[in-house]
Amino acid sequence: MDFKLTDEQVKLRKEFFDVCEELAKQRPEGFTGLEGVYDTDEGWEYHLWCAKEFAKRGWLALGWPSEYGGQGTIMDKVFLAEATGYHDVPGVDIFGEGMLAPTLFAVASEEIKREFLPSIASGERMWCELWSEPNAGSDLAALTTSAVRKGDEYVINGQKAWSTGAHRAHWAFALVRTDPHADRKQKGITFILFDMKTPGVTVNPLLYMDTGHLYNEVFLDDVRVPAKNIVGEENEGWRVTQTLAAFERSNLGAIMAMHRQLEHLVDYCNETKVKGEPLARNPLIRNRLAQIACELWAAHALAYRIADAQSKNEMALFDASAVKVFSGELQARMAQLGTDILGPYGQVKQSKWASFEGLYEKWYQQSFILNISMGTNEIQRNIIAWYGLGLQRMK
Amino acid sequence: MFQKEVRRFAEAELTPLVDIMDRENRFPHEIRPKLAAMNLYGIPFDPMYGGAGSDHVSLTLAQIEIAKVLAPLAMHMQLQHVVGDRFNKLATEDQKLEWMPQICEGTKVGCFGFTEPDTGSNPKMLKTTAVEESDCFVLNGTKRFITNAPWADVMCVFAKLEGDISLFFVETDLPGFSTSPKMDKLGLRGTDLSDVILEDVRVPKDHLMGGKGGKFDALKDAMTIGKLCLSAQCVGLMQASLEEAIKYSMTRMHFDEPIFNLQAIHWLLAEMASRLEAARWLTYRAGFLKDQGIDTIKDLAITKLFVTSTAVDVCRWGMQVHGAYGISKEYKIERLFRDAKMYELLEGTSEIQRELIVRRLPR
Repeated sequence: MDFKLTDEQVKLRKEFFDVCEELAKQRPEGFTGLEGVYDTDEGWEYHLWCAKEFAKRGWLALGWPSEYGGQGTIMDKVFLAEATGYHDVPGVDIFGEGMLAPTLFAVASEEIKREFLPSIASGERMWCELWSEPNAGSDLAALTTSAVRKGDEYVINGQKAWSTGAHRAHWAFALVRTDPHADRKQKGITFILFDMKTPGVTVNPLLYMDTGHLYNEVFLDDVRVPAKNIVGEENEGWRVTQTLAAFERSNLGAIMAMHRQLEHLVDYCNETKVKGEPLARNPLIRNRLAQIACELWAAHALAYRIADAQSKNEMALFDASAVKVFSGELQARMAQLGTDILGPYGQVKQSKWASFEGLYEKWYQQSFILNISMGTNEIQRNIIAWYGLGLQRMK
Repeated sequence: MFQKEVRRFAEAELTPLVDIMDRENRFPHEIRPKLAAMNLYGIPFDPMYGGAGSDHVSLTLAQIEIAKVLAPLAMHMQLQHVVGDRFNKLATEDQKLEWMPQICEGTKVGCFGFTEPDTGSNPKMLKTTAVEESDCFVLNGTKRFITNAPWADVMCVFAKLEGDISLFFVETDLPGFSTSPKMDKLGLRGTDLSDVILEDVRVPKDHLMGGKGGKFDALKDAMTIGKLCLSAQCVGLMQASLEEAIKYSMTRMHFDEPIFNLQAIHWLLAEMASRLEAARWLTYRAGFLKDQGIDTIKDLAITKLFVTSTAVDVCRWGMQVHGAYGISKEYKIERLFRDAKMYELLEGTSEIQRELIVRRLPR
């Protein structure tokens, strides 16, 4: 691959960073990451406002075909992810723009695409994913939420878990079981879209360890959904989920967020004196910062390689697993380093005592998410071993 | 026998207090008489001063069992022992007879004040001052991250007197003694933590402990008890994490069988168990050395360095076994993970421990 960006790419990337820097000035105090988006009303309003700002520039349809209002390439989308990650700016709906839109392009009917894509591009409709269940996480195909066809509707019953942002989202894309008698559990699953205000939808919080409201459990009791809202064919929902490879999966947003954190720490160490000497002169701290910088640049290079492969439609299934494991575990080490350097001040919640608005106390707790969400690292390593290395499948 | 008694006590009496401390971030004062009745406030102290007349190995065992259920309460116990030990070693006989029984009964709560906004672990930067007047010492300064401070009855205060570090005990109802609002923090919640502000606090002359100056050694000595207790608390957290991880993995079904049967889970549990045992025996050894009166600064630094960082790893692996449920408030493991992180930074950071160790290596 060629790491050199074209002049046009450099210019556009800079524009992304400049706009995000401006948007970041309006960020509510204490806002950070996905929890910032979903936990408070202020964070959600900020997310919607940023989405509008991106939409009016056409940035929520990057890499889309032009007949659906798209512009640019998937690499442009990667650059925007870098900018939003670095400046900790929301506005890009990871479910609607990030996951659903590529799925619709891959498998949906023209009618569905024409109905649902415009509101994603305009940032007006936000989505959540209703996939996992209490007993179907890493083993997703074990899901049991049922959808029974009655006339021109499906009647859905069941319980979903770990539904990020379901308490804020306007619509959901769900996996439901439409054929309980299929010979394999991967068969008989259907991918369906519905309004979260539909009668029978109840959302309860599943509080994160820092008490943030990011996740939910969603109860579906006789939820009636028009049959035309299925994506792909009935009972072929599992195949729809396999189009995940088309998503932007480089993790560059998270990696750029770490770059920013590293810059924070470097500034802090240059400015903070211990025993009359700047922390920057402490050999142990220098060593650890240098080490994390090496790992961060390795993650960055890996992510760029994957983004490049993806843009050429050459990405292997295990590529996304590799960058997820590497950058997820790096994020945990980064948070560990930050709290080590800040000492007790890094463990105090937002207050006059806390450095960086108490964000390190949050980041330490949030640094665990990447290692378990969207398939735990154990599952990812299994995928790498199986698809990537050609080791025999476990079962 | 003692260990089993404390275990029974902890499971019965402390389990209901977990949410009060962690969720409500409030200290349950009603537990103090019960801790005292179990002799858990003065385990190694002479019965003549209200102690249990036992040893530091017993203190270690008790701390493990208490922390396994509720680590912040073990931290509260630790402070009573650190303050009690200062009285035991540096106070006059009359002062010992007056104060130590009250500390051992939990009717007086102590706190320990060394850290300041600009000092961290560095004694040379201490800014709190003591000035001698005819009938008292006048103390001025600010202490930071002081556990128990908002409601302590007595505080051990390190201050610079005539250019050297001295130690005073200060009754907290003296004019000029105040505390900031308590801090909200990542883990060990419910152990109230705040700044202490000393503004012209006039301390009686006999409250100077062990004479003028030279009290950096008293600090290091006090910290050996702190480090022993911290390490024991980490062992308790690791034990709880392992038990929770096993319990969860035996009941969580994936791919039609308990995840306990998966090799990836075996590896995590085996690593957790191995590190736990290494940490446990290192901590027992530290308690034993303390009882032998051997210079324990190096050994406690080694113990604290290893055990606290190991606890962070073990509790993180425990969360990993729990998958997504590990990060939710519905399972115990997230609290253990948050609590474990706090220990790396208390009683001197890992960097300070490394310095203490290297200076004492045979050359």
